[in-house]
Amino acid sequence: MMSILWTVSDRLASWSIRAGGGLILIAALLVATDVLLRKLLSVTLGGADEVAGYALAVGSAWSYSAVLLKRGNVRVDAAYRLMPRLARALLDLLAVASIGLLTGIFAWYGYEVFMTSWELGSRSNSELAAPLWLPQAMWWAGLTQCTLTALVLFLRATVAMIQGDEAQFAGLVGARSIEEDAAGEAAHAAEHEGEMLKGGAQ
Amino acid sequence: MIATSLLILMGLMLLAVPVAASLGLLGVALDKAFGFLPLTRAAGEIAWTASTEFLLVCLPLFILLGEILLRSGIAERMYEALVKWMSWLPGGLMHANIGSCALFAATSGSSVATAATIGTVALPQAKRFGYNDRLFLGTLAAGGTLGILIPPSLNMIVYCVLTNTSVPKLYLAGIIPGLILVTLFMGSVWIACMVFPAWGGKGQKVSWSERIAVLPDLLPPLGIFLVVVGSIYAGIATATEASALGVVAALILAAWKRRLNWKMMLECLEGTMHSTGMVMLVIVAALFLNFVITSIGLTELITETLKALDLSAAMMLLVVVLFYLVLGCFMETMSMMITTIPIIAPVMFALGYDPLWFGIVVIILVEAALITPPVGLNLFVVQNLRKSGSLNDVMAGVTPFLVGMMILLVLLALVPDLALWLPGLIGDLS
Repeated sequence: MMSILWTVSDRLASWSIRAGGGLILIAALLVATDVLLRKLLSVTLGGADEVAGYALAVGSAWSYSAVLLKRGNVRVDAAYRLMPRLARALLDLLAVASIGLLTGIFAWYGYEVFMTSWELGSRSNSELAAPLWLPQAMWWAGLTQCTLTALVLFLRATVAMIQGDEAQFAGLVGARSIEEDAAGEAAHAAEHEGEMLKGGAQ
Repeated sequence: MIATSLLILMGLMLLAVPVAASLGLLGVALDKAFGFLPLTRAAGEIAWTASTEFLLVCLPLFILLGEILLRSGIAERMYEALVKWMSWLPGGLMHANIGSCALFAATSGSSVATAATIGTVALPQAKRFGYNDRLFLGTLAAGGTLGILIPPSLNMIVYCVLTNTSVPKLYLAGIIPGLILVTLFMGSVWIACMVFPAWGGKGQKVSWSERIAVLPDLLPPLGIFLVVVGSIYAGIATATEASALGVVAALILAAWKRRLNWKMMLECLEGTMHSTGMVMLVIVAALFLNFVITSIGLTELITETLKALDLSAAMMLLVVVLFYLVLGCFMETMSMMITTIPIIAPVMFALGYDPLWFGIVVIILVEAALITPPVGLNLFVVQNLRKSGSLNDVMAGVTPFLVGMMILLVLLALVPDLALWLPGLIGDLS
C-alpha cells in the first residue's frame, strides 16, 4: 500500500513539474509573439500577460511536489548540522510536515477562492474575460497535490526511521548540504561542457 | 510583539524548518496571537494574487533563458575569444575569467549559473598555464557574482517586486557599479600579479589577425543582451516581455547551433521549474506574512522602534550593511532577500535613501554573501568544478575581490550618482 502511494506521488510529481514547465514555455512564446505582433503589425493578441500570470501560478504550484521530493526547499542548517543524529532526523520530519502544513493552508483557503469564482461565475476583469475558476482549480490542484505528497513522504520517512534505514531516510528527507547543492550546479554545467566538446568534435 | 515574532522566526529557522514554511507559519501564528480579524482566511486570495503577478513571470523566463544558453555552447567560444584579447595583461587568463563572467552576466540573471558556466570552461586552463590556483579560483567565484549586478538579474526583480521599484531603472542603475566592480576585480588581479609575478602564469602570444578572427564568437552573448536589455530601453518591451523575447532568441541560437532537441528542452524545463517552485513558495509565503504583519501593525511598530533608536541615516546604513554581511554568511541569498527586504527597505526609504540606490547596495551585499563561508554557494560551486584540493583555497582566493566589493560600497556611499545617474537620464519607464 505504502509503496503504491509512494510510486503514484513520485510519478505524479515528475509529470506535473514537466507539465508546469510546458505551461511556462507556452507563456514565453505567447508573450514574445504578442510583443512582436504589437510592434510589427500593431495588433495585439490581448491578454497574453494575463495568461502568463496564470501559467506562473499553475506552473509553480505543479512544481511544489517535485521540489519537496528533491529536498529543494531551502533550510537554514547552521544549528542543524551541530545536532545529534536523532534530533536531526526529527527536524527532517518536522520540515516535511511544515511544508505540508503550509501548502495545506494555501490549498484550504485556495479552495474558497476557486469555489467562489465557480459559484459566481467570475471572469477576469480584462478583454479576455477568462473564467477564473479554471486556472484557480488547476492551481488549487497543485497545492493539494503537494500537501498529499508531503503526507506520503512523511509516512514513508517515518517507516524508514523505524526500520533504522538511515541511508533511505537521508535520501528522502535529509537536509541538502551546501556541498550537494553546489555539486548539482557544477555537474549541471560540466555535463553540458561534455556535450559541447562532443558536439564540437562532430 | 516584535520580540515574540523574532523569537518564533529565529526558532523556526534554527530548527531548520524550510524558509518558506517558517515565514508562512509565522504569519499564521501572529494572526492567531495578535490579529483582530481572522487574517489567515485571506491566505488563498493572497497566494493567488501573488503567484499571478506578471512581473514575477520574469523569474521562470530568465531561469529558462539561462538553462537554454548553458546548453547552447556559446560560453566556451566566448571564453576562448576573450582569452585571445585579454591574455597579454599581467594576470593573463584571470582577466579573461572576469571578462567572461561580466559578459555572461549580461545574458544571465544568476550568479551561481555564471560561476558554474565560466568555471567549467576556464578551470582546465589554470593548470596548463601554471597560474596561482587560489587567485584563479577567486576570479571565478567572485567574477560569477557579477551575474546579478549586471542586468538582467533575478535578484533585482525580486527586490523590485518587494519594494515596488521599476525594474528597467534598477537594471540601468546596476550597469555603472557593475563596470566599476569589473575594473576593481581586474585591478586586484593586476596588482597581485605585479607584486607576485609568478602568480600570473605563462603568457601567450596572440597575433592581431587571430584576435580579429575570434570576434564573431562574442556576438551571440551580445545579441542576447541586446534583445533582453535593449528591448526594454527601446521602449518595445516591459521586463517580463523582454525575458520572453530572450527565451525565443536563446531557442533560435540553440537551434542554429544544432543543440535543440526534446531531451534538452525537457531538462531545461525541469531545471527551470525546480528553481521557480523553490523561489515562488518562499515569495508567496513572505507576501502572506507581510500582509499579516502590516495588518496587525507590526511593520509600523518596527519602523517606529528603529526611528526611536534615533540613529543617523549613515549609522543606520552601516548597521544594515553589517547585518547583511553577517546574515549572508548563514543564509541562502534569495531567501535572505525575501525575508528581510520588506522590513528593512521601508525604513531605509524613510531615512531618505533612494530605492534604486539602496537596491544596488543590497545586490552588492548579496554578491558578498555568495562568496562568504560557511554558506557561500559560489565558493562551493567552483570547488566542485575543481574536484580536488581544499575549499580553503577558494576562500583565500576570493578575499581580494571581497575587498573590491567593499570599496565599491564606499564609492556608492560617497557618490550615489554612480547608481543614480543612468536611470536619471531616462524618463518614466514602468
